Parts: sequence; structure tokens; C-alpha cells
Amino acid sequence: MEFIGLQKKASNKSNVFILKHVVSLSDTNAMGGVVYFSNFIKWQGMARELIMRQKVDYKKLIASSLDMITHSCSAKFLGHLYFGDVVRLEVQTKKILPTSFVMVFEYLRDGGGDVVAVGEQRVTFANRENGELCRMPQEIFDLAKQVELETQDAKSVNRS
Amino acid sequence: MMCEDRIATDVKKLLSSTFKLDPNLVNDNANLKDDLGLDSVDIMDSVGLLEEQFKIKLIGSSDWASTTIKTVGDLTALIKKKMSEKIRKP
Repeated sequence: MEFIGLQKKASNKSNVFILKHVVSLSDTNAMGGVVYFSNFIKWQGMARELIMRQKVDYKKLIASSLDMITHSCSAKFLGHLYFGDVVRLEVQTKKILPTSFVMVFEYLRDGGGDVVAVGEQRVTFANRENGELCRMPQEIFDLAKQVELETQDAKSVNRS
Repeated sequence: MMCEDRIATDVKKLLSSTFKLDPNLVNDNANLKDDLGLDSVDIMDSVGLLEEQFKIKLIGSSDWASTTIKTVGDLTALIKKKMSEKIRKP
């Protein structure tokens, strides 16, 4: 998977992080040679990590006492991907709250532009030493705000 | 000093708008988990939002460690306590 960068999303005029992945044989299954469903969740994790590594001091974060935790994740499948296809992941955020935020994924077939899946995951933060939930670090908050989805439903906070 | 009824109203309004809850369900006796369906992350987010709204510190304070928050009323009581402490400090 490759991190492409930050762009404007045509459909909703918000910023979006773009990543691309070339579907390998190991992504596909024996049932028609389509990409196996669990890989869409795996790609969410890879995308999240690549975004964080571009914009946040990830090593410092890992070395700190802060844990980033996946609270929940989901994917809804609208089409198939095959070996050799290039999948374009468009990643935005919503519901940015003091201790959690939601990442929104759109998986598109690069070139064709059709949406083959959509997904979400909610991320929260905890102190590794005592396991207590805590506020998200400012740098991650700023990162999430960069690609915030502007909708009436997207309740978020602003930090001064 | 902020009226205590106003604090209770603001807490309920914040919970119902943030989590899209029926305002009629968000009463003082409502259990945050069992009645309103909030989980621990939702509750922490609520507390964080209330900290920002009322400009008080809850998470990590001595009150936080010693308080059990189960209902909307528990949350309101904690806010009221912190607000009156804030007013009493010179």
C-alpha cells in the first residue's frame, strides 16, 4: 500500500487522504478469485498506520505510554476486486470527540472509479500503564481535523 | 454563578445531541449504559466535552478517581461539585 497524499474529494469538497494498493494473489480467495472480505479490514489498518506515519511521530507514540485502540470497525461490500486491480482508499474522519474519532473509508477501483466498499472504524486512546481511557493527543486531533467530513451528522469538537 | 438547573439542562442537552438520543430518555435517573446505550468510550467523550463546555478539569482529578458515574444524575452532580469548587477558589 502506498500513501499518495492529501487531496480535495470531488463529491463532498472536504479534504481526503488517498492511498493505493495493488491487489496481490494472496489478497484473493478460491471462491471466484475475488478479494477476501477480511482484507478490507486489514487495509483499514494499513491505511491508518501509513497516514499516521506520514503525519505523526509514530515511533515516539509507540514508545510513549499511550495506546491507540480500535473500538469498532465495519465494512460494507458493494462490488468485487480482483488480482491486479488497483484499489484507491479515500480516508476521512467524522465525530471527532475528546477521546475518540471515527475514520471513514471509501474503497474505489482506481481507473474505473466505482466504489467497491465502504467502511468505518472508531479509534480511542488509553494509558498503557493503568488501562484508563484518555484524551487523544493534540497531533492526532490535528491530523483527524485535516480530513474531517463536513456533514450535519458529523458532530465534532474544536480545541482552542 | 451558573444556576444548578442550567447545569442539569446543559448536561442532558449535550448527551442527547452528541449521541442522538431521545431527550425524553435523558433524565437524571437514566443509567448511561443500560438505559442510554452508551459505552465507556462514549462516557469518556461526554466527560471530555463537559470539561470543555464548563471549563473544568475532571479526568485525572481526585474527584474523578473516587467517583462512580452510572447515571445522568451522577454526571450532573460531579459537574455541579466542580463548578462550586471553581467559584469558591480565590
